[in-house]
Amino acid sequence: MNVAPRRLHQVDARTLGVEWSDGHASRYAVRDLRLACPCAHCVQEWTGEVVVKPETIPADVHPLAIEPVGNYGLRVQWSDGHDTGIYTHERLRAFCGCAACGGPKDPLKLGRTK
Amino acid sequence: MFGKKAAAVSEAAVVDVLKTVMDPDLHRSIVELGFVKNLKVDGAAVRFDVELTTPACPVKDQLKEECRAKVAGVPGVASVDVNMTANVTGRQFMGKAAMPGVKNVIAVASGKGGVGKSTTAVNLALALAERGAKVGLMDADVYGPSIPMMLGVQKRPKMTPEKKILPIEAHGLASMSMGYLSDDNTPVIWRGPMVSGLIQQFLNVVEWGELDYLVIDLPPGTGDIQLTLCQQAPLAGAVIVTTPQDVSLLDARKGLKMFEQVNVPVLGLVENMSFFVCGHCGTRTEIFRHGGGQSEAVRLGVPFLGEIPIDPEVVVGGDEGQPILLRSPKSPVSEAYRKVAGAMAAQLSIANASAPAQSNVKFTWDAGKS
Repeated sequence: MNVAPRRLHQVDARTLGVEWSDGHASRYAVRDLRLACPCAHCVQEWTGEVVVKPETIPADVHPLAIEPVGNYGLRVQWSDGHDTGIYTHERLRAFCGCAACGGPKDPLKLGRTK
Repeated sequence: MFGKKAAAVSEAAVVDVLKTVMDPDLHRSIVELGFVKNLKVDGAAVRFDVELTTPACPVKDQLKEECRAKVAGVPGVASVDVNMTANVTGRQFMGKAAMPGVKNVIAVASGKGGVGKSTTAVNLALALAERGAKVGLMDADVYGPSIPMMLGVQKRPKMTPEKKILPIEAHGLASMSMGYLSDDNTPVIWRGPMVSGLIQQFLNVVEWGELDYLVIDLPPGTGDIQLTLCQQAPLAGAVIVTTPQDVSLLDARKGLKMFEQVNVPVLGLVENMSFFVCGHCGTRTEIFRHGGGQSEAVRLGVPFLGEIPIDPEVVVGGDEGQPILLRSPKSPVSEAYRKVAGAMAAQLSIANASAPAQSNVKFTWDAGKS
């Protein structure tokens, strides 16, 4: 099903809340979202190997701004200067760690851009 | 005295029968959809407006007649005046409000070149405008712009004092093309990022004004320009033009997959150069085979919008700046374009009605919040 974020909100200093068009509500630890960046600098385009080094990502990394990309994704401008990743709605939803969505997921094991 | 005063017609009775008139595309009653406006009952005379979601609605006349007949059947009604209007619905998108005033951006695409994509884009735009819609036409084929020739205009766009570019008006369309900015004989030799920049300017710096539909003629294939548009423009839908051969259909499939990946609804397939009818003997020849578009649309699960026959006049019209819809408005080709435009507009209304509501704002993080 084609779902899109209807509203973004900041839960606390470390958590982003997303309300979806189908009524589902997701919460994301923002550093995990940064680690899950699907861009070519963070995930090798051909092999799908994760090349972002978690130890280089500040503990307090957080979004500065989030803006829509077309009808299908979000671009996040991060406090560490990174802004090349497009989080597709599909991928973002799949990363939802709530119990109904199958529990928390490892941001480094999401593989290549989908 | 007998018959002196018939029971007054109540508004409620009229609304009740109108509740049984269904929009064939949205599958809901026109009352529930809020299409019935300005209902006035004056004695035995009833008048109202029916506001559709597109002036190019293919079943406008049938709907009007159904409304008229049903209301005329209400006891006591002597006359019915139905006025069909339209208020085009727009895509609610999660965009940067990049194009205020433009309700729907429609991409006309093809997997490969030479299938008549630009011709289709021009004539679809004209067919929508002919029905009363406000339409713009943007030529995104930066390397091979053909819209200026097809519209028969070659002017330099003017700038407003606010440094906005004014589109060129031709045949009732607001149009913009790289062809207006460069001369005929100089090829555009640009790298991708420059082209992306130009496309962004066409979207944001051109003063399109209020438009119901902005039709974008895409270059063939699935490259840089297509991706830029999918990311920068709030595309309400895409139409894929193909010819009946397998190779064209194969490429159409790739175009379709691209739009699916970026969540742009595919409004349907158009089969161009579908068949040729001999002007002398009337024999129909299916030059590239026929019906491939329709079966492919069924296979891919997208609507089939219609087939356009081959007519040499289309080519002459395109080369002379007189699109077929204006040159021979009564020809079978023009009728075919009108049918496709109507089906496309109907599919767009359906897509808009079912598109997920998205917020429309850039979100900023409050670093001080604990």
